[in-house]
Amino acid sequence: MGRITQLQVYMLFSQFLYSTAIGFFVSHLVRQARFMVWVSVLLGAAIGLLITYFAYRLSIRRPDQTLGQYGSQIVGRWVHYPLMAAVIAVNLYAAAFITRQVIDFIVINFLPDTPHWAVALLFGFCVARGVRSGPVTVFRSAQGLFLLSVAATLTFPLFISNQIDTDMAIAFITWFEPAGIWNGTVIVAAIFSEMAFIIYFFPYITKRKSMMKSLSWATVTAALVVLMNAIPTIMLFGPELTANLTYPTLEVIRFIRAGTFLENLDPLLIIFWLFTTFLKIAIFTLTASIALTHTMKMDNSKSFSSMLTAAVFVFSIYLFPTAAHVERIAVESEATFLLLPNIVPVMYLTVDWLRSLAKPSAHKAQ
Amino acid sequence: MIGIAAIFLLIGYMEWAYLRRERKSKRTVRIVIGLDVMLIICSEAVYFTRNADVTAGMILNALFTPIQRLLFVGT
Repeated sequence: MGRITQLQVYMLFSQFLYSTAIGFFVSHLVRQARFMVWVSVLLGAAIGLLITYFAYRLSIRRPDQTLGQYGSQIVGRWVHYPLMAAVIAVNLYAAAFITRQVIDFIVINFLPDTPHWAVALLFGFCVARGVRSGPVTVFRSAQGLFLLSVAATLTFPLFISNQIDTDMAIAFITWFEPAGIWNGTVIVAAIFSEMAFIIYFFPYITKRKSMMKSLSWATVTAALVVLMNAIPTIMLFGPELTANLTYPTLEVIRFIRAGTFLENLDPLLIIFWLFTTFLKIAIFTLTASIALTHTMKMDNSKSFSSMLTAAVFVFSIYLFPTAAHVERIAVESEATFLLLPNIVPVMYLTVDWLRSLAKPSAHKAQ
Repeated sequence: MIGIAAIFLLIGYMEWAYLRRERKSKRTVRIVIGLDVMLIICSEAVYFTRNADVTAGMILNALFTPIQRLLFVGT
């Protein structure tokens, strides 16, 4: 069954992790951690990788199945089914929320006066086709633009290197606010722990023993990209202004003046970043689709994919009345609803460990 | 409202035709069509409450906000 290579795992998760992190989270992160954003990113990435490691440990016990298939053997059907229903619902809600953030971003900055439904219909069609093609195609497509995507996101801070305030650099060491660092860490951990989604794709992946190596490199790459964007943004605008801008990274790109030919680089650079958001929404929807398929003891997630994608895009338009509501939810609860589904495999692993301790022979027989 | 129902009905019909072509079991067809009907109801409910004082999105936000306050320090 395994057709997804470890290189594809690395390339997909690198883009998956930094897509919304640099697009929508920089202002929230800086609002909490200020100059200590680098500590939050490093700590959060480490915690996210640890949560992913627990998901990996659980997956490696039953490598040819996904959580939806074997979860009921661990916690019992009465706990497993409601829990999976909650995970699927939260994943769809998170996908809808991220979709709405992307649609708002496109409409506000590039397509003013365009109705949300028109953007959602076009973007939704692409995501639906991707999700219906299955995990192998989505992971393979991540390879296509990886180099351009990473190069673009790493390049644009370099263009403003002569405009940044270098006197501010000392504050990255002297500023210390433990509460802010912790809050920033939770936000980053919520994003980076999304690698725990491997638990739903495990049977599709080859050379599973080296999975943590690929995911560790993906974490390093994504953390580097986030830092390469967040730190120059702070040094350009200062922490106060960065925290109050809706899209600080876009403002950095608009600061670039690279000659008359490339007077306005933003559409060129945004294209590659937009592809990473496509991957993000596709993986969230695909996770819900696979989890639902396997929980219902079915073998093919194709039949659910189109209708779940349609639901995500309808929810994205009508669940959140205005951009102000989206911003409020992003501040008040986004980190939590991104984090909770990733904690679920840790819970299953704990129960599985306890059960195998209680009945070592029964576990060996499995 | 009609647009949302039309999209889901079209998807439901295409999936039904696909499942019949692939000779899938009746149970599979029932589950897929059942999910489609459930999603139509949910989507229409979300559509009708889109301008209400309390939308479904804000109810979910109210559900997660207390947990985030527990996770965060000093908020």
